[in-house]
Amino acid sequence: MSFWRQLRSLVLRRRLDREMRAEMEAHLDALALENIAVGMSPEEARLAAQRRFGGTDQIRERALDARGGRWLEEIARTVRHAARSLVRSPVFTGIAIVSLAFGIGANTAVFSLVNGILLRSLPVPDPQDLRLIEMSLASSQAGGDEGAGERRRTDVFPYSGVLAVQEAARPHADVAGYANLGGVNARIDGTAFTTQGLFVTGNYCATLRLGAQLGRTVVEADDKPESPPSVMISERWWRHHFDSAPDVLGRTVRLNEATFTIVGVLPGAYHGAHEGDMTEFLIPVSSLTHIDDRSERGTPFASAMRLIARPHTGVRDAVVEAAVQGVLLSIPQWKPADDPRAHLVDGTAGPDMERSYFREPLLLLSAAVASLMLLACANLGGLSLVRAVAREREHAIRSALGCGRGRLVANALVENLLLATAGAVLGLVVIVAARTYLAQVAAGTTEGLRYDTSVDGRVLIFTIGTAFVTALLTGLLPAWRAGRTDPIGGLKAGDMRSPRGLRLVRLLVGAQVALSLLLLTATGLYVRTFVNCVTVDPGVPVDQTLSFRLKARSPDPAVILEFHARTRDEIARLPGVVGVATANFKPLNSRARAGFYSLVGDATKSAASGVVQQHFVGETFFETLEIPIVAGRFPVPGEQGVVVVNEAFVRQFSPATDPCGQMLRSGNGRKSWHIVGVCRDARMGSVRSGPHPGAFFSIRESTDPSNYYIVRSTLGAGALKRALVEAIARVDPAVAPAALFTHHEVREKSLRREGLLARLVTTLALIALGLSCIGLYGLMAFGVARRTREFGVRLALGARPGEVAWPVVREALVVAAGGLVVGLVAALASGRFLASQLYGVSPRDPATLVGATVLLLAIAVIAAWRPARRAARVDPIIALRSE
Amino acid sequence: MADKSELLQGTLDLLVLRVLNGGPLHGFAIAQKIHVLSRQALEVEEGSLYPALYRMERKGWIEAEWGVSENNRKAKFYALTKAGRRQLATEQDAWARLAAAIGAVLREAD
Repeated sequence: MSFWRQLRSLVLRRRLDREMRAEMEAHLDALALENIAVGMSPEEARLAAQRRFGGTDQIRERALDARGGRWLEEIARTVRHAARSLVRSPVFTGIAIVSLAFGIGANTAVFSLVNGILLRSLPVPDPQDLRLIEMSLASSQAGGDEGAGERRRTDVFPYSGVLAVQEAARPHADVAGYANLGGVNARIDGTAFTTQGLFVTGNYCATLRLGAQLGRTVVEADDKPESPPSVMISERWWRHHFDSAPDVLGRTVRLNEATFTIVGVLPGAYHGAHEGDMTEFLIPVSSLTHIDDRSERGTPFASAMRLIARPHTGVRDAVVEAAVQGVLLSIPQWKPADDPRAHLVDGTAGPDMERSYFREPLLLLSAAVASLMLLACANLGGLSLVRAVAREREHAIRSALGCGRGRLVANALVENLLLATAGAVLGLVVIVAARTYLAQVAAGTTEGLRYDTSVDGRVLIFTIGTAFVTALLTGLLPAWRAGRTDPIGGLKAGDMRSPRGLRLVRLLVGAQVALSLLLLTATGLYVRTFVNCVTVDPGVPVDQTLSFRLKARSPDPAVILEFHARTRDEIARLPGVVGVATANFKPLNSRARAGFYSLVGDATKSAASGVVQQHFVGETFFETLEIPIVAGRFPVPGEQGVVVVNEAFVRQFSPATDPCGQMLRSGNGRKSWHIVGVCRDARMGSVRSGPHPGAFFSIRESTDPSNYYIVRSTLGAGALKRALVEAIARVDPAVAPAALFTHHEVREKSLRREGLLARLVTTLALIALGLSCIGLYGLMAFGVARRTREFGVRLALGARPGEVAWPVVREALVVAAGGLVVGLVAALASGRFLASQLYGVSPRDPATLVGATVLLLAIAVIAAWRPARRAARVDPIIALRSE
Repeated sequence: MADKSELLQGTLDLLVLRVLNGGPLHGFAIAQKIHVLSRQALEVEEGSLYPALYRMERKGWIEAEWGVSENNRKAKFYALTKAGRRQLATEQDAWARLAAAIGAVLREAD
């Protein structure tokens, strides 16, 4: 109430002033009238009245004080003053606002990614109580891709292990299992499509406290072999296939060859818990028996599940860990030699492989933009200090005229607050304008807008906070200096020799150079990583190779085989086609399904077992992809019950013996294959991932109606794509190829993270370079301006221009060199944080470090160039005459 | 003019409120009335009166309105608000207690 009155009195100040004046005027008139009444002349009466009344101005001031609102006025005046003095130096203000906008904008942009990808939690109550159960194992003797002594981590448990852990943890925590089920052939009302979902233990929804938007969730009773198959569907399905009809409950969905009854609709915010694509349905694990022929009734699929737990209230993680630990060795997959240990990790954001895929690059990026922000602050701080030194005279005059120290400090702080606010506003404008780009970055890197990276309240608070911290960081030094102004000294020293301030500016500029070096080094390393990834031999052909996915219309395995055989022949007949192969996965860019397998050698040794990538490949696969066999032989076309393994498999499962002739057995022990050959390792997943143990089965054993085709040809990509579409249409006019890309395109996509990082870090480093250059230039230019007179005298006394210019350049080099030394030490020390992001380049790569150093020294010379030239061209006459 | 009493600290508010209890008055009239009622003993200084009026207006005890004075001049009239009336009662009580206390001391201190 009183605040509003004060605000009103501030706004209406002029009117109030007028009213007060009128009121006092009336009072004076009344006094004068009274005096006339006692016999004075009008002039006398007026004078007497005024004498009695006293100074109207003083009374008005005091009355205004009594009215309140003075402090608001004070603030308004300070802000006005600060704004005026900023407008008076447009170059400083412009540089300051733009560098702050870059700093705050870059930070907000990266934070909106961090916020969208890392900080969102699962859309369930109390997500912070959720834990993921992981395991670490002693590294295998063969070493694998990790160094010796390092423990392997895994989060996949065989189904028997899931049950054992659930039972062991029951007194302390609810534990649920879940796993991704991809490539399912779904049919709803006659429309067929492939899709993916989750299979979960019956207590999954209860453990997560995941509700149903409509109907009910999957419950324990559904997870029984004799229960009718039930499914929860995603909101998208509900909307897309059922028009959000409320009577969707009780209707049916075909998943592969089984009919499931819809019991509920998942909440819209729930995206599931698996890497890659969206989760469209959720089924109990026991119903896998209905849809997957690789499992048999009573034995859910021998595939692995991940575990998520919700410890009971008050139960510490260590208690659950101990309980889980107790049963790990009862799980047949692990031997005492593996030394399995249970770990509970935070599950707030849910299990998401993509998130961990992005965590490190995002955190590094955050560090990079934070240092950019520091750089912008240092720059602004330096410029403000230079300005404060230059304004020492003004401050001295003002403090001599009675301006309080508090006022001077407040002025300096308010100026920086204004700058920071302007910078933040400009930065936000840039972010909002760049939103489409950011959304594309997020979309391009996560396939589908699973992550909401919009500017929300949290991002706004972050931006405002950053701006305020900036204002404080950059404002405190000049404010402190302004407050210490000595009126006598400041006025006396005409040439303002005050090395105190300059020393600090030099320090700040040196810090900028150090930070720039760090960013430049990171840029060099990322760019080299990207180049290495592009140029590394991926193990499969890239040039003149393309691949696509094709799906047979019928679910009948015989028809599927026949369709793909005919299509392959048709393509092989195309002119210019050198080879064509089929597989159930896409080389270079897809994760093959993994399962538990064991190697059965002679009866004297226990079977080695572990996770193996399952590849189903056609007869021409190895030949077309030029993957040589290093031991044994290729399978004979049409041969059944045989398998080829890769070198990584041999390294992990039987490093000492020849695996050829041994048996590979599936995790549930129901099926086994003769190993006939060992093929060279080829990167079947992303270019970055090392070779994993893999097994290559005949594609005849896969019932998947979708096959990937790999075609090698001498034709150009465009012509080949057209010819392929026509050839497929000749086989079946109703089907069309999907994901038809050349391997160059596929690789580009699989390197999008590296590319994104390289691009972003390069941008940041360029900004950092620009900022450092401005900082150095400002320092040198100011130094020269301050010493104009001295240069004039020296030139007049016969100094050569070079003798005057050289010290300017030398100073720039000294400041830069100091920064470079610190930067190099920091770069060497922080290298190991980058190591995991790099490929084929050491974090202490000498070429990169030397290159960055030389570049920065060059920048220092460039920054000093103009000021040095100005120093050399000082006209002695003018310099001596001025002031 | 010789035996004017100094206004005791803090009593100006009380006097102004009390005088305004009779009805709205402008600044000059307030000073005048206090002067007359005190039998010329109290002289309210304009330099204190106006700040006091604005302060009391800010506190919400009185409110001002422009009107026309008895000699046809534009003048600002102050009137008591409800809060002002409450304040007057409080201050009057306080004054009475203080006066009684001081009186008692003066009478019986020997």
